[in-house]
Amino acid sequence: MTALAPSLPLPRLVRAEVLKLRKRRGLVAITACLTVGAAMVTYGVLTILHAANPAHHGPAGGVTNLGHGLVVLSVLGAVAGTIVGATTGAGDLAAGVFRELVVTGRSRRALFRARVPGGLAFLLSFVAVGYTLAAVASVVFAGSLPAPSTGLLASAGAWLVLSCTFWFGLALGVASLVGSRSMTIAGMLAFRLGVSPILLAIGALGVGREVVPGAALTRLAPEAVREFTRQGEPVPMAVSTAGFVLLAWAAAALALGAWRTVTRDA
Amino acid sequence: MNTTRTSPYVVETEGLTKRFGVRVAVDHVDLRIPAGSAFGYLGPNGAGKTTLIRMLLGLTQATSGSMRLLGHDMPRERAAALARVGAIVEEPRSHLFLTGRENLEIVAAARERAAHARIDGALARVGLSDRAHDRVKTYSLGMRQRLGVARALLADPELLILDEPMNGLDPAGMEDMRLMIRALVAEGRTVVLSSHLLDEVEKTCDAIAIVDRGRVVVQGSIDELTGKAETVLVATSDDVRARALLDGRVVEAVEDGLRVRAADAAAVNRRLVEAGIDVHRLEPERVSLERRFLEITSRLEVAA
Repeated sequence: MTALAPSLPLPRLVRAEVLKLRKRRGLVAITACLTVGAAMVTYGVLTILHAANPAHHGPAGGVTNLGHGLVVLSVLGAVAGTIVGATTGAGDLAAGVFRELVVTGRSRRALFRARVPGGLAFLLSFVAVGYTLAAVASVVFAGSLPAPSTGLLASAGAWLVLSCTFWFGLALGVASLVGSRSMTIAGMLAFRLGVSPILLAIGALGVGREVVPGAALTRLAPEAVREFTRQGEPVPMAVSTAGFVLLAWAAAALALGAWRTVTRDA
Repeated sequence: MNTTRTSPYVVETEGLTKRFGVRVAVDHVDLRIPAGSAFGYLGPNGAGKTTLIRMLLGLTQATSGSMRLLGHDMPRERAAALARVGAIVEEPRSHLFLTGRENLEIVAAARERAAHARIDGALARVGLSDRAHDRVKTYSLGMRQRLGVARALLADPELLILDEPMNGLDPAGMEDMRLMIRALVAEGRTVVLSSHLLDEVEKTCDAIAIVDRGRVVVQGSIDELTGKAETVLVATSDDVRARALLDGRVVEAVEDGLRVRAADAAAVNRRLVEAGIDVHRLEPERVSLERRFLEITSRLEVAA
């Protein structure tokens, strides 16, 4: 059986992208830590605290702790999405393999397009496991607290997927544009973890803060856990505006990445 | 190997030019590479060999001029043109964390579906079957070079473009590469070999083009370009008499005989034998490719 033998009905180029990612041991380890590991540690700590001192620490599950778990998963999931996106976008270039792919005659657009589902298939499989652990724990360990409803679990999961997908897409586009994995990761993490919260905290920026992706992502979070996902001051905005902001950022990054992939000397 | 090509040439360029700012890397190159041959593309470092190959393969855009690959216009019909082209450009690159086989699978995924079925054959042909499941980072430079050739073979290529394929190979590896190139040509494929190893090109190729400062300065068959020299090496039983007999045609005495200026070695032999001088050795000299290459490139340097 070959390494590209189809376990999923994916096109061959997409499966090739998945192969390149899943064979990077370091990437697999760090993505697993930031998603599955993060969920395990979060609920493990909450469970231990509750077991050690039930009077002071409530049950590890429930809606509130789902919110806490979601914050951890969204922040670390954004980091994972950034790393996976940057690797997917610049991995072939860094290894010099992009040239080997171009000389096959396959269109550069097709090579770029395959990166999106390939990278997402890899990233979201880890995110799904991590979130499933969080969701199960928030129900199983709810104890006396209200357990999250199925609807909340579904909407929170969808939001987490949206968040991770957004940061992945942004990193993929930027990495394909600049051609450097490390620069992309450093720049985007600085933006996500440093610049973005600062911008959102500057009230004087007013509606200008609506263009910061963090504000839009918070606006789209399920209401029951929105408070936990907020990066700074709340920025009131319409759902449609939030959707448009995320779409515009991702589309711009991907379009620039695709353009550079098509035009760069291989 | 299937071919639907009608042109006798696998590569045709007209006025192909590439500029980097004010520097002209490839200067109005008109090149015609006949099908079914091993074609050497020779030139000193910086002559524009790799730039021309990169243009042919659509890795970089030409500034002006036109080119056709396997009868297809490049870059307009790029996909059709490159479908039956395999290439190594500069050093072949691979994902080091993947095995040799996985690297081939990555490239096969970008080619037609049948390319997957060629992986085992390609690995066997370059002698990497035993190491196919090892990570490329454990490969020697020569093995990585051979993996690059295997990758090029996935195209079932009508045309193979190999840029310095002997780099990193030991003498046995170079011999294997030479034999493989000849075997590929015997199958009706065309191999373009860009190299600075003149001896290897002379042993391997049928025809060559010599490029210097971005221009093709000579193009022709190896026989035409190396050709016979106007001298014959003669070893006799009596070199003193032979020298007197051949009068002013002796160019010089060499270690084991005389170098004689003569187009017809048989006539020299007949004259010596008729004079009662035994001839132990009679060897019409050839101009080596290296000598011709240096003549051409040094002439250009003088002219410049």
